[in-house]
Amino acid sequence: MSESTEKKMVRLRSSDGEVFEVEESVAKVAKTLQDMLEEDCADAVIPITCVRAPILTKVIDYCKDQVMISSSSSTTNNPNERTEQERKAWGQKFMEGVDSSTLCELLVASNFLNIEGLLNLGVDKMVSMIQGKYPQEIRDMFNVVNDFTPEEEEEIRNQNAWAFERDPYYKKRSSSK
Amino acid sequence: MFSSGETSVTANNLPDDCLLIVFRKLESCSDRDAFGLTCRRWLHIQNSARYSLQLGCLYRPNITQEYVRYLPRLLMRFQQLRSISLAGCTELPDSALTWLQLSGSELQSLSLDCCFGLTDHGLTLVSSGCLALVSISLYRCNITDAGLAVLSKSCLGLEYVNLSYCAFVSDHGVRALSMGCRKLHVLIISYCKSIEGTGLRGCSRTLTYLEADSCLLTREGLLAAVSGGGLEYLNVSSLRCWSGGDGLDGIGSGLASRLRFLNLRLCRFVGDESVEAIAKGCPLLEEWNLAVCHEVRIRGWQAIGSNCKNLQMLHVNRCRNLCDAGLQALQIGCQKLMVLYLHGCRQSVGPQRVTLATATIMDPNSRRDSSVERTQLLMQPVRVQIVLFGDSVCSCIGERGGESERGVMLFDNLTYKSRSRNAAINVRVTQGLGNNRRLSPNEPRDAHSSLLQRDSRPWEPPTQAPLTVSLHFGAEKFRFVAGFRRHRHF
Repeated sequence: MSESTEKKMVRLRSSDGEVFEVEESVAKVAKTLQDMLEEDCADAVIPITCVRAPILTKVIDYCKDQVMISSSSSTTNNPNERTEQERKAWGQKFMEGVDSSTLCELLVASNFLNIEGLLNLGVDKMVSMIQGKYPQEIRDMFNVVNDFTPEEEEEIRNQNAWAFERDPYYKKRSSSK
Repeated sequence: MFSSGETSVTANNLPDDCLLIVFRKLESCSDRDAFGLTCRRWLHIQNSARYSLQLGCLYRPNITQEYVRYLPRLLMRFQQLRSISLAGCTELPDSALTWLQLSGSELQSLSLDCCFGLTDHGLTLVSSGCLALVSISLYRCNITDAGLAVLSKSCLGLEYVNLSYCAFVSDHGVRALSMGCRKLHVLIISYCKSIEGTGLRGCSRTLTYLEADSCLLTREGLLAAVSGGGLEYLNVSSLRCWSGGDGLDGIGSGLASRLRFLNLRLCRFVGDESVEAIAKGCPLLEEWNLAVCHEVRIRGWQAIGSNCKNLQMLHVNRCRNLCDAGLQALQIGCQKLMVLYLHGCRQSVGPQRVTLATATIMDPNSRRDSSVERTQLLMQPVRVQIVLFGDSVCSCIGERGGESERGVMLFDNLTYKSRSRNAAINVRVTQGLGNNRRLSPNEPRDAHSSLLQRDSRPWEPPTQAPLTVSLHFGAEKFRFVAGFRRHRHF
């Protein structure tokens, strides 16, 4: 963890007991932590009860990056500033190699900590994993147990064949591929 | 808490909020269905995120039993529906709508087009259950005034009502509707042969859109239709002839001063007097269809030229009495005119008279044919004449430039020179869209190239339909329609 004598530091404890020390500005990327810090609990160690250390590491990496972008974005000719395209590429790289269970943990963490950008990255990743898959493939991927009886499943399939929906957002299907 | 080491987190730990965001981002129906089939919890998320339902029984009468069986199940499953379309359930019985009494309170839009099996009783069920209804479409339904009256008493928020081809609806029903639903915004009564229009007397000012194509409106009925004072769109094409004067001058009497679109197509009896009154009384007109209005003569055209300063589109197809002087009056007066539908105007528009630009369009078949045939085609070019008003296009400089090698390019990218600008203009040719349609912004921009791509058969110049020619100057776009016959010069 980065040490700095000038900047105010915040300590976070993961669910498995590891303590992380980060700059306050980094912690404040998470809206949940920002709210807590504004109520002034600077000295205490903040327990992040539903996030394990490896996941919290990744979350902190994300927050640090956000701070780096925003802190330098006010200056002109900022080398860290990103175009829309670069941001997309960065997001993809950040989520690269994340498996489905890590993804779920990241989603839970970003939801709990209220980090919108990270949540969106996770959601987009999950969407891309689901697209074009059969139900059984989705179950296998995300460890979901099929709790339908075969009859129920059959009935839902039959109903789906009758129920058309306007394509949401009127987008063409091919555009998502 | 989770133990260290191997994780035990699965999608089951994801909160509903997360799953819902994921679900909403799935774009294709098959992905959404696969999501719902994963497990009960995910199905629940799919069901609760579903706002619209269209029953997939499109106009297949032999499957009545099936959809009557599935409809209640689907409605039970999707509890949040805002929009339901049962269009094409031709034999749907009234009883199938019973559920609406219990669970239709959120419903805003309902389409019952071509539900021939429904009666007033069905409409009563809708009325008692769907108090939040904003839009209802009853195209070709066998409902009567009584059903419409019940609907008008309970669904007070209705803004859009389509009654076209409802043969049993008369002015009584229309009166009930126009008195009850004071937010009515769009009313479509085309081909309702029992409606004379008097039921619209005193209609709400919110009524801005009235479509009454091929109705048997009377003179009083037409006055009643504009009595609300809010109309911006009025379609009374194919109006039946009245005896003693055309009576359409009522449109120009002041009550329709907000009118922006007026369709009088096939009102053959419309005379100069009415055209003059309308031109003066409706200064905001942007599009006016006078196709096949044979009685409009020079006085009418001059009145349009001197009064309709906002006119952008004018349909004068097959007007027998459009003369060059009339065209000139339009040209001088209507400075905003961008599109003129001239198809089938016999005595007008000699190229040497009012034409400001002439385009020669080659048959694109030349791309496919042998060189001999191509030469032949080039000798018999299909000529399209473009009359431009209010802007600066003048001569065609690339009429045959690069003709032999370029093949279809000749057709697609003729180069013109504009009078005021030196920019080259691309010309695209699209097949006609029919005389009676208003061009919508959704019309494909480059219908021509899609025409060629979609259809691999040799392109035939349309013999009846008008040809649309679009000129692009950078971002600006103008579209023109001219009638033409194959191998025949104007």
